[in-house]
Amino acid sequence: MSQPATATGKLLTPFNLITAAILAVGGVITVLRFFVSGLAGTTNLTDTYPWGLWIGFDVMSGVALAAGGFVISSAVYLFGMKEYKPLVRPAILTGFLGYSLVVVGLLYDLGRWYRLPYPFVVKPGPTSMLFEVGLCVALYLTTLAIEFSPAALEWLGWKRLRQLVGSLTIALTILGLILSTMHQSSLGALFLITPTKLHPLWYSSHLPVHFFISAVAGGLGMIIIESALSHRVFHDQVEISGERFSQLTVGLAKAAAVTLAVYLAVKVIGIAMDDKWHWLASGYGGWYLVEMLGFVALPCFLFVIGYRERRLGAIRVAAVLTVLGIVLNRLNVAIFAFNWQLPAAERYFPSWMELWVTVSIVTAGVWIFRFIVKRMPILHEHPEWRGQH
Amino acid sequence: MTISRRGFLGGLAAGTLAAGTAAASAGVKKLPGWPDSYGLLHDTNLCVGCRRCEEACKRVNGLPEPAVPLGDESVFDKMRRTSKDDYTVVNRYRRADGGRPAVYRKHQCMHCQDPCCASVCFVQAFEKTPQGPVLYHPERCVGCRYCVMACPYYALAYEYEQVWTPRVVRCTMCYPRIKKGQQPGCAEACPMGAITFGRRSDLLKLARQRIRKQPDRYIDHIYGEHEFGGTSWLTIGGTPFGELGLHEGAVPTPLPEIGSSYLSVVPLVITIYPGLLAGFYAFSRRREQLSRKETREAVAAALERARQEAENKLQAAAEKAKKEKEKAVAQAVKKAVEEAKKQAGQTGQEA
Amino acid sequence: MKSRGATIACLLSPGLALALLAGCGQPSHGRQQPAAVPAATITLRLADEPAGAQPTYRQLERPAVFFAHPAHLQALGDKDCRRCHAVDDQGRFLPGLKQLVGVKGRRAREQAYHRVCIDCHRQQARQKGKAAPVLCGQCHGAPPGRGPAWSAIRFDLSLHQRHLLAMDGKCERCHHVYDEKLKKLVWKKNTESACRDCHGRYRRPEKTSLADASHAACVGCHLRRLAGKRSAGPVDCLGCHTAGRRAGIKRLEKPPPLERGQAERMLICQEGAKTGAVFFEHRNHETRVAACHQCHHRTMNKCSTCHRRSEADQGGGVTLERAYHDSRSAVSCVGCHRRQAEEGDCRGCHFRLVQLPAQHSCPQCHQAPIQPPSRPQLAGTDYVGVAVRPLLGPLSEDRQQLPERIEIKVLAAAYRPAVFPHLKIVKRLDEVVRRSSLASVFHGRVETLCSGCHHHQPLGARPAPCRSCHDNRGSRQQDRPSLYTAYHRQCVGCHQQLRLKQGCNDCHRPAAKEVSP
Repeated sequence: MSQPATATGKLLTPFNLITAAILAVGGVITVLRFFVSGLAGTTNLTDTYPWGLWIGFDVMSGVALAAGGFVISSAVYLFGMKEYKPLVRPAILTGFLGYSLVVVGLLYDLGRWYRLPYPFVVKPGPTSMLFEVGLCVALYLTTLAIEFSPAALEWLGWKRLRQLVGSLTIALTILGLILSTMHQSSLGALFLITPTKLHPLWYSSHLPVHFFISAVAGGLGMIIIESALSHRVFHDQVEISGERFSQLTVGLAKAAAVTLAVYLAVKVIGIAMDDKWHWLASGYGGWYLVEMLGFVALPCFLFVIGYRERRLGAIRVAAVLTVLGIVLNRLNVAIFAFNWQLPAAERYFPSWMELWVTVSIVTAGVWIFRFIVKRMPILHEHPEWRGQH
Repeated sequence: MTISRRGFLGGLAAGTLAAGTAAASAGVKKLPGWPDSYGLLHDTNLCVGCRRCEEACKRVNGLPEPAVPLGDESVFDKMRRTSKDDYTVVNRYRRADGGRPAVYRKHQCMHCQDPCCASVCFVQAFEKTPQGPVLYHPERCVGCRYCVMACPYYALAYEYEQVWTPRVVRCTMCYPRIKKGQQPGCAEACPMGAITFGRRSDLLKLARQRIRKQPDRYIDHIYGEHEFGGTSWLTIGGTPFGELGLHEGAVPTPLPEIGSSYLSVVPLVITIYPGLLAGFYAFSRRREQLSRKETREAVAAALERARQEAENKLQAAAEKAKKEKEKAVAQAVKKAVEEAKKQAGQTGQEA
Repeated sequence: MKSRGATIACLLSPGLALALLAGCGQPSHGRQQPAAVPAATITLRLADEPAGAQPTYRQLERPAVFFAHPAHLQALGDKDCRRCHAVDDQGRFLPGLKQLVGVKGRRAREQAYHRVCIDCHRQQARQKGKAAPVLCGQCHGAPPGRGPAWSAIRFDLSLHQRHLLAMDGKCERCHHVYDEKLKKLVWKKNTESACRDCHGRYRRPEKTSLADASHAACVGCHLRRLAGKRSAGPVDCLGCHTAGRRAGIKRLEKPPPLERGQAERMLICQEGAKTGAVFFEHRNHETRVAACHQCHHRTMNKCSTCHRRSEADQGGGVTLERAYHDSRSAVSCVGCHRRQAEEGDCRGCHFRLVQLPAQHSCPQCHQAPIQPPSRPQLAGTDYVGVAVRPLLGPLSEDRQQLPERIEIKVLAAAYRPAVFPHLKIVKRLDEVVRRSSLASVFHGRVETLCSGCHHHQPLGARPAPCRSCHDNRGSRQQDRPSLYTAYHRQCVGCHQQLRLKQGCNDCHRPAAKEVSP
């Protein structure tokens, strides 16, 4: 990656130019979507496929991959694994940005986006999983904002407020774990009501549990990737030593290995319980095995090798595979294994504008991440607040 | 930061309250449908695919004319589904062959007894009325399209090309007309009487009567009586329902019940997690404190040992010095005595 | 150390879980769809057969073996059936392996099969290097393979006649009964019946199965004729058991009925019956069925031999009244007549009539006078003089009463009035009836034709118009459609069954649209 611009450095780097171009086109598509041609002109959504890439990737995968925040903060603050403290702030930032962009992506997808607060202020529908998801995501976004605020407050120098927010850390972490458990599993529970449409290999009455466990794995994978990239790109901001960072990565690899193994076991139990083995001998069965073996079993194995032999390369490859696996799983549930009985002509594939919007949202996230990391004490501690929450 | 006992109990109380309200408003119970609700009976043995029901529906709802005009058989060459301009469609499920005529079925929103759309809407934009129809409230709809996704009969459609005010569109069972005592447009228009409108309980009796009178012509099953909790549209006929595009062998459990069993876990999470996690936090802090205490004690013990050792060494050195001093004194005395002896010996010899 | 243990546990647990649950999650045999067995494949089952009971396959450990007969013929390369099959003292070859003749008991039969088959397979592998199955699962549980589907043989009158000619009219060549006293098979004249009337699906100690008997008799005879250089029927499985090959067999157009000493016409009556007896034209019916067992579905005896008047425990639970009148059966009088009426040109009305026979049609069959209890049954010739039934009078006599055209304008709104060609339809129906003797029996009176459309009314009176009973709303309680629906269901329903024009404009033109200002 080339040198990103600092406050005093170059502005017209290739990275900046390319990403600015992406965002510019994304802006045009945004105008088209909201003011000109609506969903019909920008997406390939149909009556049979009301949920497409924006839900499958931006919302579902986004939430799953932003799960690193609650994983690390719970580990550090609730389970006493203090050695991972340096990873907490970047993970919280990733989570906060991730969830914010999920909401942005959701706004693109909603038919009447200006009515987003309706479930809370007009009439809630508590029988709906989506209500559960919406409420928990809204509350969790608030929680993440407050959990992220110490970094901003330190940067701004507002000491009293920073003191107050710091005292709330444990409560916020508990709240964050509760809310995350609920909304990660509720995203899976969204599909409980569609046993006739979702392929039996992906459908299970335990979908919420599957989604939650895979979210933990995805979060861990994202932390490994994000921290590896940050430590290379923003190495001037990083405080801890390379040796210490390797140790932390290896520790994360252990956790990820266990999580993936549990996930695989739970999936196997799901298939055995409903006697779905014969589904494996089909086209979709092959695709399912690709997802399970190539993107769950294989990274689990690589994580184990990585932490046994302290091979950071294997760990990072495994983390990439894990993240891809989670994205693949969400896309399979939402798009590819959905309406699996319908003929090919009625199936859905995202339009280029949907893909571009998704890429723009991710790019915007990267920009904001870079802006914050370069200015606020994320990858290092603020000298006045050393050693505190 | 420590959690005091007071704080812990307070948190637990707050959690229980929240759980209580959540459970009360989650509506986790069965909806068996209203007893006097209306329904429609669709007899596929009588349907000849004339599509006058489609025409009437469009007229009543102010929709554009059918794309393929009535009478043109080519419209049946592929299966159609409902869309924003077609609240109902008639599909041909089997061509005429030999002596058997073709088989058609009309498809539209089934107005289920326990509708999935109502269950999944997070702003309660769907309402199952006592009269039977499931109503849609566009003034609340946010456009998330979960209902479109969840409907097992693929009955809902969405106005994607509307930029500011898209709505979910579907058959309404002509609710305004029913309230005025009229029949739905399709039931009135069907020349063959393949659609009969009436109270659902009456229609079930009618369907059973027809099946009993001509058992060779009808499959002994009323589709929609119990499937997924039952629907207001009942279908009978001589062709297996799986061949008519319906879910054959569907369980009588309504689909929303699968979701409500998961929702019942939510209050448990809200109540158990705070205590559990606070417990974890307390355990980890206690472990930390214990290890700190142990470290302190170990350091103190080590210091004590060191001090003791130093003292012992000092004492030993002092004793050693004393002994050496005594030895030196004794030696000096011995030397002096010897000197004295030597001196005395010498003087003795001289005298 | 701890971490290593944890590693191993991590790696093994999914594998263990998989292995354990794979074992538990074996799909049972019952879940798999039974594959259709093709015609040339013989299913070999070791059947446990306690006398009179169905074989219980649950005690068998392995599924049936699907034996591909043509493949074996091809592999063995020779045409002599005696390599595997025995020949009995009458020169008929016996189906089944000759090594199993006389072998009784399940274990013994099982071992005999295994010895013969596996030894031969091993020999083939050794001498000719051909791969043949020797392991258990290669035969038991292997799929039945592909091939033309098996279909049952229909030995109809045409085939029977051809065989009769080939046998020089000698029934005893094929038909036999078992004589208890002589303890052997003999031929008794006028007792011939279908093979299946005695031979069942399974082999019994006292009589062999239908498959064995027919293969021995039919294929054996064909083989003998071929050996004697005479023309014969097929000797391979596919020749008889596939519809395609059977279609190639020459058919006689109008085979003569079989002579078995039966009367041409008979009187069906019962001791103590109160309803008129039925004149039954047996000869006429013989010419209209494909084979005797279409009516004589179990034995060649008359219905009342098995079906009792009041005791339902015999005759398969079917009493005599049901045996004659059950409209849903294929072998009862009423049932067969109903099926005839639902075909062809009669379908338009008959497809939607409720399936019980109309009560006014009873006298059409029950025409003979009631037999007093003391009088014995009439012989066939006793009532030759009785006219069977009056046929339709010429239609022109009734013509004045029948309207020629009816203009249906009561509901004309979006469409102009429909012009209904009443007389044309009546004449057409009349023509259809006269072409069929069965139809003529029941529609001897013109009024019965009217009741196809003018329903739920007494016969004979001038029928009321539709709108007398059908109002504009209809009644759900009585399942009575509204007038609009009644018209269309009646007309379009009939047209749909007869494949006539059903378009809206074919009957009534659209009304002229009002020009909007």
